[in-house]
Amino acid sequence: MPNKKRLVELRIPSIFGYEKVAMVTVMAVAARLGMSGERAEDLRTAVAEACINAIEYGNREDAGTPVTITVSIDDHHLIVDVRDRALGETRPHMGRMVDLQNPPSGTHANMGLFLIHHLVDKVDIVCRDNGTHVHMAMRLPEMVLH
Amino acid sequence: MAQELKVTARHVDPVMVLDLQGDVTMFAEAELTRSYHLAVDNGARELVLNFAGTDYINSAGIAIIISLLTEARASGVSLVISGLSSHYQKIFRMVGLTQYAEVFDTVDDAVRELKSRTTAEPA
Repeated sequence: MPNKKRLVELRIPSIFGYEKVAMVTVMAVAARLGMSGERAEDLRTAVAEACINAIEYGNREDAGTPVTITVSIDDHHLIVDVRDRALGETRPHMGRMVDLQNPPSGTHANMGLFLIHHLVDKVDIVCRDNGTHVHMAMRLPEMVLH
Repeated sequence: MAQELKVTARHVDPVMVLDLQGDVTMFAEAELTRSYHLAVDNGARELVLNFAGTDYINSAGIAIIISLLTEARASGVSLVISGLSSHYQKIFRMVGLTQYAEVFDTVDDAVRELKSRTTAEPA
């Protein structure tokens, strides 16, 4: 198990627009760790989509129910975990809803999942009765690892 | 928190440019569709959606753009895209949006191309 170190924990209300707080935070941490340009932008967009899904489907836009964003590093990765409280429907198959070969033509929720899967190096989505957890990891630049 | 979208229309004869300023999210739907329909109702048949003034487009915003592009195609309107950052150009390719519309680096490139088509068309 690689050494995991938590850097930042953030709670945002389940109100559309607050995902931008998570985006700015993740970009700041990524820049500090030497991850820049397109890779950082990819992570920023994936975090936005994970937060939007958490706000809309996980927490049903209940402003008082927070979405929790945790930013961590391990030996090789910058890791962002997004968790909701499952006030909405549980989606046990959410991680398998996405056809990675074909962009979705339906709801934007599927498009968000499609983007997350394509933009970050590793994605795990765990749905339980008490909430959905989206785990995203991006490999850190070599200069940071040495 | 969110930066509300403003759309400004300008005429670069014979092309109508819609300059987008702000976030392209679910909140942009009314402004985007209103601006598009106003332009088309006023006779525009060559339009550019210029994203140079926006740095946040999410999946809900992309869904709105796809809807506009589908409508434009069905009604014979040439609707093209310009001003996207390299990141959002990649995202648009990823979700297949470039199948619906041509994407140009700058608004000048888009206008030049649309103008050349209208002058090339027989009277």
